[in-house]
Amino acid sequence: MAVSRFLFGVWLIATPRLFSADPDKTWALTLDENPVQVAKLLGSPAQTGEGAPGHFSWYLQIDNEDNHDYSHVLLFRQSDRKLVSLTRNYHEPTLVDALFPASGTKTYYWQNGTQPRWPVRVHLLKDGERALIAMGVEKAGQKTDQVLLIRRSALVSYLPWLAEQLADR
Amino acid sequence: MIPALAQPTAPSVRILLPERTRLLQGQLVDLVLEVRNVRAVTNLRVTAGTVDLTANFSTPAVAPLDCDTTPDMVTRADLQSFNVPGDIELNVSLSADGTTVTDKRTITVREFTAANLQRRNIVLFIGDAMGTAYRDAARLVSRSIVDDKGKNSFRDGFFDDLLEMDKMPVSGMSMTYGTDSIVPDSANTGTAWATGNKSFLNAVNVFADGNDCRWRFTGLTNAANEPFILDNPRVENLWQYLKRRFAYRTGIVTTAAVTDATPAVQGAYAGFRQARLAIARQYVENPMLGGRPAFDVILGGGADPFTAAGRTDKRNLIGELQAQGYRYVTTAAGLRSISGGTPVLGLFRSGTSPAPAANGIATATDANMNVAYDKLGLQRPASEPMANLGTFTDQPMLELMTQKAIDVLSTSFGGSPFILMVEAASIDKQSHPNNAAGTIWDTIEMDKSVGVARAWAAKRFTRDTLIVVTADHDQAMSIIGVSNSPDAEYFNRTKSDKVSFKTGAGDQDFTVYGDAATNARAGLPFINNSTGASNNGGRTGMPLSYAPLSVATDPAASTYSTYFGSPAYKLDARTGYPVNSGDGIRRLAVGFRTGDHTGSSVPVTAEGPGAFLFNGYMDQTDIFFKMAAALSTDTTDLDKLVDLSQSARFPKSVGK
Repeated sequence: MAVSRFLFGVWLIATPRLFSADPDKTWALTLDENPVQVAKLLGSPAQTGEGAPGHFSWYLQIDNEDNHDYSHVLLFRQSDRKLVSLTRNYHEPTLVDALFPASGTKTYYWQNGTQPRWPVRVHLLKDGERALIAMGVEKAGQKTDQVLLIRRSALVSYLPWLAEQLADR
Repeated sequence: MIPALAQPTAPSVRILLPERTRLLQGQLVDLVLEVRNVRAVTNLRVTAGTVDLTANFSTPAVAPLDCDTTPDMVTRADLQSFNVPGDIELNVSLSADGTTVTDKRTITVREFTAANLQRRNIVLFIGDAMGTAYRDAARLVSRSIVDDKGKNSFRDGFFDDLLEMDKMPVSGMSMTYGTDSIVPDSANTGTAWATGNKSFLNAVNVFADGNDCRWRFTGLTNAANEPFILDNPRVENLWQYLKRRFAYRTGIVTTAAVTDATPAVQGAYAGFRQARLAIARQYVENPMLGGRPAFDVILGGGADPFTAAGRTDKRNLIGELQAQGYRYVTTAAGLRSISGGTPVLGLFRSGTSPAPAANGIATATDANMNVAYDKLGLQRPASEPMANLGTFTDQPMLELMTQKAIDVLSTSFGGSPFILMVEAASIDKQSHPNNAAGTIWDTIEMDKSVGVARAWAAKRFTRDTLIVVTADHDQAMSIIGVSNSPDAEYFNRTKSDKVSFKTGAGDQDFTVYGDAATNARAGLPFINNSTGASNNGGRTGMPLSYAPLSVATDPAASTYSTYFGSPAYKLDARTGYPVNSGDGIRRLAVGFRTGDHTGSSVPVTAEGPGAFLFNGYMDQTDIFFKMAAALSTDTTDLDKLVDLSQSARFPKSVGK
């Protein structure tokens, strides 16, 4: 874990453009944070929930024009109170290309029966333990309203179809 | 906090119905059984009293629950009903990998048969967020009118004329708690009055299930998880129940997008209120009605999810309804031209460029209707956003929408009764950003719509229409006093001050505008005189430009809010609404403690046959059963009691 964090920090220094270009403080999180650290960065949650066994969730509404939507949903582990995933819901469709450099970003698809296939852009962060996922976009230049940062190990529970496709990578 | 699901390693079975499930005779509900820690399920037996339901259940199938790796299975029997009134014990027994496991529920079934049907109409008004203070504010603004001779209709603490809602003879209070939060939202509160059962935040007429973890606790509400958003156990709402069983005509009227939560609970079933594409589809192909449309009248905003451009499946739902004979209007002029009983779809606002959202379950943009204040062309106070009607300059007022909905629904071959929900949506949507003027005038619009329904019902040959007015939940506004801020200050957008507090718990930064004396926004110090005990510094916390020049003994000389004095507005005779400007105006001063909902109980007022049922404190789910009781019970004795209480024998309120 410490080595991963070190490498992640080195990577951050090496590619400051990626995160410093995005004024959204959300993307300073690495999923190594506990609730206190998250609150210092993003503020306190509007709601909390303890639904998935062994986990608890925070729901934030930051700069959210529609107060009935959550701008951030964070899933923490009960055992060590560390983040498992962070979902960022943008109120307006948003260009997030700065978070998805062409090198290292690939598109995957979810398909259900006769429904049109639904794309996601995935960027595996350098240590491979984190997946940054832009929902519903196929290529650069397209806007999204939902971006997920999740531990790769958690994909099998929450996005199993993507975990399966990534396993082939 | 929601109790975490237990994580035993032994097999178990769970019936996905709440502990206190209540249903009407014949009301449809999905029966879903989750079996945990199992690889094979055999010997399933499900009974409801003496009735064996086993054959109705699907073959148990593998279903990942709880987002863990333990093997689980699910079996379900959709759209079941219980036809014997009373307490029914639902028993489940099965063999899970050779181990017998059981579960049971006691379901209370209330009688409702065709023989008892009273053929009455119901108009349910929902003022979204319209708690007590919001009704009070609408009264204080719209009923404190100064005429040409200088006489105020509010004098010495009495009103010459109360609100339409105030004049309804029966009142009670409704508790609005949800299953997972004492501060609910429009979806789970709507589920309560629409189905008679409670659910979790954001749920539209469904109960929780074991794969909610895929989206509910991660925020992954998107196309890939839509199957898990739409597979929750459903419970039929009163609108579909009455149409399906007794051929009622049904309608929704709202100033929100018509797929927003409050209208949606009358016509759709989904675990997440923002699954707008699915909700719109269910209005056209309702699952409780064998794929028939849910409503005869739909009026409101939010056209995008009904357009091919706004949908991932590219269906033109507007065209599909038109092909079934629906008339389609998009302006107030078009709505005014409507007559007769043919079904109507009216969508008066949309996004500028409809497109599906990237998440695949909603639209990228959509639009609620503009608020009453802006439709009336009134100038917004300094802290509130300016009106922007875009190209939608002919949006109807809620009174017109209500009148036309009633006219259409009440005109039918065979004289079918109807049930209609009318929502003033932006009492809530304006209250979230603490826009006092926006929220108050929307409440006044709500009250005028209540007046339309009351007037219509009063003219009926027989007393056959129950009118109920309530809120889904409360919000954080309170009545502080009055202010005589002059227009020059109240509307001045060039004058503002930033206030900043730095504390160990975090920084607070906010901007004060010229209407501050009329609106103590959440986080700002209170601005009236008795602030010594306030925990946020009272008037001393205000920026210097808003500090009092002197302590005023004459409230008329002060530009601050005060407990003393009464509001005073002028009426626009053309629109019938108060104006928010002019010489001599004394505005109501309100305050907001937060920008969100609260858990306070909300008023319920009722008039018509069965109204007395709404007397006293009740749970919000009782509203469903009381409406059903009014339709299925002879309430003559109760109605006479109400009439007697309103007679000259007993004291009458001033202004009623």
